[in-house]
Amino acid sequence: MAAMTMTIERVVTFNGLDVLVARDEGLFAEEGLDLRIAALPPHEIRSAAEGTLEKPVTNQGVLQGRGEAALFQG
Amino acid sequence: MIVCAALIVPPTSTVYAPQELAHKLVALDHGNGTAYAGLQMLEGAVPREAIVTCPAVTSPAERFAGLMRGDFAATVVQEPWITVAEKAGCRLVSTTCFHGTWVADRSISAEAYAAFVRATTRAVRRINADKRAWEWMASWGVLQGAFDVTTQINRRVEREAHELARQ
Repeated sequence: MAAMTMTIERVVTFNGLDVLVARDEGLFAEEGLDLRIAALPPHEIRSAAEGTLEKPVTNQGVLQGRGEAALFQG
Repeated sequence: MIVCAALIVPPTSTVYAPQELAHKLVALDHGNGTAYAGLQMLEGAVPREAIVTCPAVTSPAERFAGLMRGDFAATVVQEPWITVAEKAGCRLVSTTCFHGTWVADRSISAEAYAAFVRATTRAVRRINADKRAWEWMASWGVLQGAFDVTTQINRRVEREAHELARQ
């Protein structure tokens, strides 16, 4: 069976520890999933402090929006 | 994933209930789940026109530092920063829970997503079975802020982080 591939946006430890552990322990591979993690280039990362209540700024979903990741943690 | 969020005030604050945050500056990382949870907590306590927010960074560590500096009257954090705040003498004036979600596009097949969920579910069981084994990783996140999983996990760094977390 060919491995399934999935690219997700990066996660952080305090709410993505399960992903980190699954990756470190090879659990995705055992499930036949080639999990890849994509990160925004540093120069593209914007601070939430730049946003407003009416027009927030977030980095979540940016890579998904341009087709470079299929999943992100909202 | 269930996320717990808390509205916190510094140890020296005169605020003991969320109603007392009317017209006081609350720092929120607008556009993120934590900020929406904060707005829900505020809206349940004070009139909308009495809610005053300022934009804050996504890093809970930096928001916590800003709170302790007195940059604003309150902010919202998730665990493990709720525990960090309590240990520092901050008060939780309101808490709420919400569903943290994964947002998938149409390219993901049901089979691939099922494999993802199975793997992360197994990881959660491993973590719960031996939390000490993963303490270094969680501690690293608390001490160093966002832990980029694309970074190579170096066993020397792992040991150092573990030792650092025990100090």
